[in-house]
Parts: sequence; structure tokens; C-alpha cells
Amino acid sequence: MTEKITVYQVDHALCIGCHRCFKVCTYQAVSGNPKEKHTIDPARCMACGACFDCPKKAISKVEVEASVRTVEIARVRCECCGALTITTAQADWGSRRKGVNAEAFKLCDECKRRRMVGQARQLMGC
Amino acid sequence: MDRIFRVVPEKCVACGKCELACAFAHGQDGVPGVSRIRIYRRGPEAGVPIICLQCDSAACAAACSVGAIKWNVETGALEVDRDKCVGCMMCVAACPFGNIYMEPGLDKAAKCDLCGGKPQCVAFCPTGAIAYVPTEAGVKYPCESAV
Repeated sequence: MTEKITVYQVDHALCIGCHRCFKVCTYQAVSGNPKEKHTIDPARCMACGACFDCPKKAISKVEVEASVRTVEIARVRCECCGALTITTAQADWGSRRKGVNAEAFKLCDECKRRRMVGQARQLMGC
Repeated sequence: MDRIFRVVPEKCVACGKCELACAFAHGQDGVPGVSRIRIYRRGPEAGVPIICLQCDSAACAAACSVGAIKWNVETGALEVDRDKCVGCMMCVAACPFGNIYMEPGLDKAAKCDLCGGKPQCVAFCPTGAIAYVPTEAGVKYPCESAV
């Protein structure tokens, strides 16, 4: 028996090309230009469900064989301790986002807390 | 925001009551949630409580792909909408201070929501290391109460 995974797919009959799913996909799995039919690449889809909030209800879940997920998932390593955090695709997407400092992606949350305490210590002069 | 957290590391004895109070205040069905406040215990101090700063231009809200982190006008807290959160961890990675956690089991983001205006970590702190004070009183350092 082959392993099954869940991915999302776009119903082309309903898609109006509003581009919303493209904008929210942090894994760059959605392709398509505004006002054209969009497609979700099952190889890249991680089934996070961010695109599911479709105004035309064109996006649905499907079960597919696990072998379709061919994309290699590379994850960002914390520069300080080496812990794995988000995927590199997410970091790419996030660094292009307005109001997000890409510097924050370099450390894991534990190391960021340690740095925050260190900075506070410097500010207080002790 | 008219009130902020004032943290006095000299007073903290790293007892962990704030972490417990937070976990139980955010639990569901008798199961404690993940604590949104953490005591940093590895420095020369006994402990430094670290808590969300409720940033004005928050990186977590900007990074959220589905718009699940919203400003609560009443309490001045940035809150995670559990129904919208997809658990992609973008906010955890984008927070410059590491103050967002993942709720184990649910795989959704958890951050300080000020307990609806009455932070339970403050209520349970036995030494007064954390206080929820008007902004003017919080920005002075060293404050009179620390001496």
C-alpha cells in the first residue's frame, strides 16, 4: 500500500485568477498570473491550508500518493546553535515581505531570547 | 498602548510562577497551554523574564501569510486568531526577540495576549519582578521600586 499525503488543488472551472492564493503561499507552490487560472504544484504543496480561504471556493483538498512530493525541503539553520527553523523557501518569501527584517530569520527563537537579554544588559549598564 | 510590562531582573528569583500561571491561564480542557513568558536562566542574574513587547510595527503580524495576528484595540495586544493560523512558523522566525512559541499538539502559534488586560504572570509574581504599569512609569530605569 502506497503512502498517501494531502495536497490542495485549484478547480479551474471556479478560479477567477484573483491571485490571493499566490500571495499567501509561503512555499511558492502556486503558479499563475493575475486574472488567469492558477495551479498548485503538488510537488511543492505542504498542505498548510493558507490558500484555502478562497473567495470562489475553488480550492479543495485531495489525497495523492506521497511520491508526488519531489521537492527537497531545505531548512534554515540557526547561525548560533545550529537548530533547524523554517524552510529556505519560507525565508525567501518572508524576506520579500514588507515590515519583516530578514535578519531575524538567521537565529532560532532560543538564541534570539538570549541576544535580547544581552542587549538589555548592555542598555542597563551592568 | 497605555500600559507596558516593566521587568526588573534584580528582583526575579527565577521561581517559574509566571510561566506556570501563563500556561494554566491559556490552557484548555484542563490541559495547560505553552507558556508565553519565559525566564532566561543562563545569565549571571538568577533569571530574566522575557515577554512579548507588543511592538507597534510588529514583524509577526507583517510576516503572517494568512493575517492571523491582529491588533486587539481594547487590550492593546497582538493576538493570534487560532481559526486562521496555519502553523507555518513564519511569525516565530520573524519575531526579532523570539517571543512567539508553537503550541505543541495543535501546531499553532501562541503569543502573549495580555490575558485580556489582566496579565496572570504579574498577578502570580511573588517578588514584583514583573509589573504591568502605565507607560511613563515603565520606561524609567532604574525605577524607584528596584532600589
